[in-house]
Amino acid sequence: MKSVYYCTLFLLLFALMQWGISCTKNDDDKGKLQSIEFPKPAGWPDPVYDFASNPLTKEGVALGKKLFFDGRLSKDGNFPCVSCHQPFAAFATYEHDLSHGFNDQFTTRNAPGLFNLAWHSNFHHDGGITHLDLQPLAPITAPNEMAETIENVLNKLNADADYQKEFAKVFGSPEITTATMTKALSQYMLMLVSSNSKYDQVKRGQAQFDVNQEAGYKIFQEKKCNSCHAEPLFTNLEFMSNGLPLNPAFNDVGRMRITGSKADSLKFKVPSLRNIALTFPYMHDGRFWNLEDVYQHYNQTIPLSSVERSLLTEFLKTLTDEKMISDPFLTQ
Amino acid sequence: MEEELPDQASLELRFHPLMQGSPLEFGTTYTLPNGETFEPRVFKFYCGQLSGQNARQLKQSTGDAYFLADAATPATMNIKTRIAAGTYQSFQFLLGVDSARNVSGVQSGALDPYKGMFWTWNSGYIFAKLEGRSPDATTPNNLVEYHIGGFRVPFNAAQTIRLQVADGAPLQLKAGQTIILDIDVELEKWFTGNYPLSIAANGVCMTPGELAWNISRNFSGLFTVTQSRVEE
Repeated sequence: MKSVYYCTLFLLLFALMQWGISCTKNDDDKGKLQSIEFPKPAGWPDPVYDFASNPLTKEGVALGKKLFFDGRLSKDGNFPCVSCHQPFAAFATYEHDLSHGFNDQFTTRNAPGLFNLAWHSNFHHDGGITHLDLQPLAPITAPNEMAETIENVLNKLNADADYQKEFAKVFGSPEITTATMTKALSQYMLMLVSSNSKYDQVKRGQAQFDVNQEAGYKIFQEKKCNSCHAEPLFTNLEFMSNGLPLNPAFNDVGRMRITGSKADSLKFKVPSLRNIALTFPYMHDGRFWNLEDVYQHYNQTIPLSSVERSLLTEFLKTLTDEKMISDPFLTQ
Repeated sequence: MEEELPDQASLELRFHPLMQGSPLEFGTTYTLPNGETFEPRVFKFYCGQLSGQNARQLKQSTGDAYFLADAATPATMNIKTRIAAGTYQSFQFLLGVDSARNVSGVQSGALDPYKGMFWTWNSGYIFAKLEGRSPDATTPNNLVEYHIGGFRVPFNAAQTIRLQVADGAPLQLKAGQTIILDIDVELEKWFTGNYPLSIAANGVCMTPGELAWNISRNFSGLFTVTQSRVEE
């Protein structure tokens, strides 16, 4: 009797599962997908990205990577996302204060490294973009960057049978839309999680700082660098003015450009210090070539001796995540 | 497809853009109430969250949440949606896009960012666009460009537009019937009302903020219901 009961229960469950599956949209087009659990590092805060609206899959991430590396997202084919966000520079532009865009134009700000984006609720140095999915639309349509229209990009992608097949598999419909294109890009960018630097290994008890790194970490804490560059993201994600004067070449007032509030004048989003050894030059307009310039700028508020500067630099170098920048799934 | 509910009726808004009392013609130069001249070329706006006042209740429409009305494509100036049957004395719509939809990722349908009514560098919808030329404009090529939007407080430029049925007498709408409102959109009133707007002084508004919000305060004056009727 009991076994009949279990049998019935099992059948009922099975039927429910079938029903659940057949209820998903366009299940005919949607292939079998390998879902990925977001690799949230232990002890980190919860990410803010709504993964329920865009569940990560291996195929979705691969599709996003293909788009990220595809020049067709730009007007003349020369400026894929990766042209300014280079894997070996932690997805910033290596050794460039400003990046290059369409028709030999410069960008007006320093390209930030792309990692740990799932914890950000706004993007750009001024936070003007309110969602990761919306972010790619800005460089795609900026006349000095990729210089293309969203409509043209969608037309180019939809003309490619391979893309249509891949979008059908990941999103259930072969037609590539603004929403599915940007969701695929987000899936890829979300997977750029930087949490395997030496600093992280030390925190997990898998490695030890050498004496200089240890002394540098102490300076980092004692001088309260972490009041803005808060661990573990090494940014508090807020908008701050660090005393940089207005750069007359751009008249970039930062956050005030978005809020219109004078109180936000010259405030920019606090950048993460992760991968800082790879992301020079520094500041929103790349005006400081190296860390020495940065220490000099902070000399008024946080004076450091030359020994302290060297030790702090030794610590900051432990924030480089070699694993992320060389992961073949993400970078090739 | 949504199921047709038994008590469902239809609501149709027919917008008729006018300049100086005549149907709007792009490429024609008009004289505005303040004496400035203006040759319009683009006029678009978002019409969303339609609802009707039924006795003391506000009944939300059940069709698409947002429509993009574009004067260059007359079919888009007729907006049709579904609403519960009942007796209505007024309707309303949001000229703009609610703030939640400005911040929750990429929308589709009428709100798809590829439609060009979206600021990519400062996430948010352009609620209404009016573009053209004027010899009074101090801009290159005498361009006049008003892109009005912005969802951030205190300069949220989304405006609720109330549409009183013509003659003020409530109309009874039975299931399966359609209520049709003919609405004049007097475009010169973009420049008059709560915020007198001069092309010479402010011929361009391309960002959210105080100016956009001020211009949006004129929007309620643009719309007048001239006729309302119920059809089978």
